[in-house]
Amino acid sequence: MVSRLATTADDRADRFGRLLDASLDRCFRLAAVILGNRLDAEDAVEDAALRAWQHFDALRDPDRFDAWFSRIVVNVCRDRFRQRRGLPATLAFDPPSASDPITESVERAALHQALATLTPEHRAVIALHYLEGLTVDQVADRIGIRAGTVKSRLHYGIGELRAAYDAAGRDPGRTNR
Amino acid sequence: MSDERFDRDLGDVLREIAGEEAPMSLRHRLSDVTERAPIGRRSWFTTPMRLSVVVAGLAVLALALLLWPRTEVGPAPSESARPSPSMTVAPTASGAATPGVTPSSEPSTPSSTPPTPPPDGEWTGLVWSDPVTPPFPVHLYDLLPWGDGYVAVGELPMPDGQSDGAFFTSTDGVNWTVTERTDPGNERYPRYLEAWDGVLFAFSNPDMDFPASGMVPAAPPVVWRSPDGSAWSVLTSASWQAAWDDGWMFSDVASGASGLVAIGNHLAGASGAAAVDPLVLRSVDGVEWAQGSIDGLGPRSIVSDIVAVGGGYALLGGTEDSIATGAGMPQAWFSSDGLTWVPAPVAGAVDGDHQFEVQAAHVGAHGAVSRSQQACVGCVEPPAAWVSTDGRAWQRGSAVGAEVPGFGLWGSDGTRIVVLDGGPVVPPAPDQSAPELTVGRMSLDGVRWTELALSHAMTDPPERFWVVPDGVIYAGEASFWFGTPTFGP
Repeated sequence: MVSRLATTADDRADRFGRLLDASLDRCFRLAAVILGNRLDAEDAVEDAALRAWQHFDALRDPDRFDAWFSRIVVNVCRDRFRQRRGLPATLAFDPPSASDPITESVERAALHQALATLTPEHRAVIALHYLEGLTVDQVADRIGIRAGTVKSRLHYGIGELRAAYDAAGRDPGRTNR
Repeated sequence: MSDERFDRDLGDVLREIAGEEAPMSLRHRLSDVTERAPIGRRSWFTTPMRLSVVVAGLAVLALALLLWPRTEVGPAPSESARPSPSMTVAPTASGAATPGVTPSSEPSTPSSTPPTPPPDGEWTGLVWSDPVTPPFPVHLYDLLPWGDGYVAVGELPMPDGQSDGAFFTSTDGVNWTVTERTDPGNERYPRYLEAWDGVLFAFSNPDMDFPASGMVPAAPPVVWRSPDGSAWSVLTSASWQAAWDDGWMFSDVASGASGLVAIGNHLAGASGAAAVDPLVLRSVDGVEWAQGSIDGLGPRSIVSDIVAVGGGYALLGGTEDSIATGAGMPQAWFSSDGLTWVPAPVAGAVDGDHQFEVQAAHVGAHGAVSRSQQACVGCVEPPAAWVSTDGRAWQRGSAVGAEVPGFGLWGSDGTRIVVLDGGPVVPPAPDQSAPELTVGRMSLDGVRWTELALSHAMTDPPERFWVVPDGVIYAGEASFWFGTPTFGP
């Protein structure tokens, strides 16, 4: 009986580990875009993984793990923003890669800056749609919001990014001030 | 600047920020995650001295799982027992049958006579049925009581990763028959279901394209019509088609005394461009749509929800003044005919109330409540809530003593507003799907709320639920449940 019990617990942990591994890259990218830097994203994904493991028994359908874990990651990121209340609203996004200074255009620098001014909710839908290629319904499912809200966030978020991008193109010195 | 270049640069910037893979340092940190935290014990993690207790806890948990009788969770009273699980499916839109699923030769056909609703009274509790697990994935998006049963619209995921839209019927709310499948294109699953003048109408979202320059509706929402809930036909409408051309985005639809009213917003207005007023359309047949007018719109006003209330319609929305700061004011309008809209005062509204979240309203027999739509279960502060007796004026809930539930899943049928939640105080839970639903509340007016005694905790993570005259239909991630109400002492 003892060995059977150990096997059961090990099986559960193995199953969780496999599912987590399959989702890890995607969810790390999501957290990095929401939080603006990879170090914070590591902390958030680790926290999310702990919480996911604690609630793993509630997930009956393993096929839903990726969506379920994405929600946890988004919520953990959101909690981290709340803990930062009182701090500046904008983020210190990781600067463009120093190893690639030539190809980093002023427009792309403007995109970096504009992304930092969006809310985490807007960044989340932009990351899921543009980085992960999810449809509106899939994004809604991942974050747990209505499809109409996803559309609104995509529309206004991208509108802000495009405005900053176009403005930088018209006035190349603007983003470096 | 070309869209293609913007697309490319945005993708590059996102990849620069996110990288391609999770770093090895993170993988190393996660290598022992299952040893640091036992399942279901949030506070027990990271402390090495507790590791042995954690292991023992896992062993006890495993023992309990092995020895516990394999019954469904909680008591299931016989009076609410539902038929055994079954689901039949019509052939796919492409003509191929789903593996393991038998095409339905005799879909249940509800009669066109609406059911007689029970008295307009308060429930005191919900007795959950046994869960019914469908034999394949299904997602219901909207549901209405119809005839002797129910009609629903939704989506059927296919093994290849694609999905078909689908129409469903059920006699008991938990066993569903797919009566028709449809493949109208990206995003255009039937999502909204309305009944008017003895006829059912279903609406999809538009087929949206999302180039980096913004969203482009590649095709307008599809409108379906059904006289009986089983046979559906796509309506062809020049006025509907024309209304959604040129950058309009469909948001919601409601049926009321004057017909169907659809609302949407124009895609202009972002980036500080000149705003374009939201769109409101009314129809009595789903074919001929007339455009209404809205007074009192502000710059960058958007509309997000419409409900039938007070003999007319209430329209909810707000201004989105700044993406960066969340500034914006909630707004509301009322119309008795669905065409002429006048502002409905929102007393006590302050800048930022809607927090960039659209509002969603729920209607009871004696009033309505509208809430900012916040996304997370773990939110610390509840969203702002507004109450109204008839949709003509709204007050902040706290100003009239309304203890509007801050969180939870909301549903309403025009008579009762029901909220299911994970507890009196929702902790900063990490996810939306894991918490058990242990608390139910009900209101007829959005102001006075009574607690519902639940027969047992709902353990299947929720997708959606609907309030119907004879109870609650709950769609979890894995199963359907019916909540039969209990009435007063």
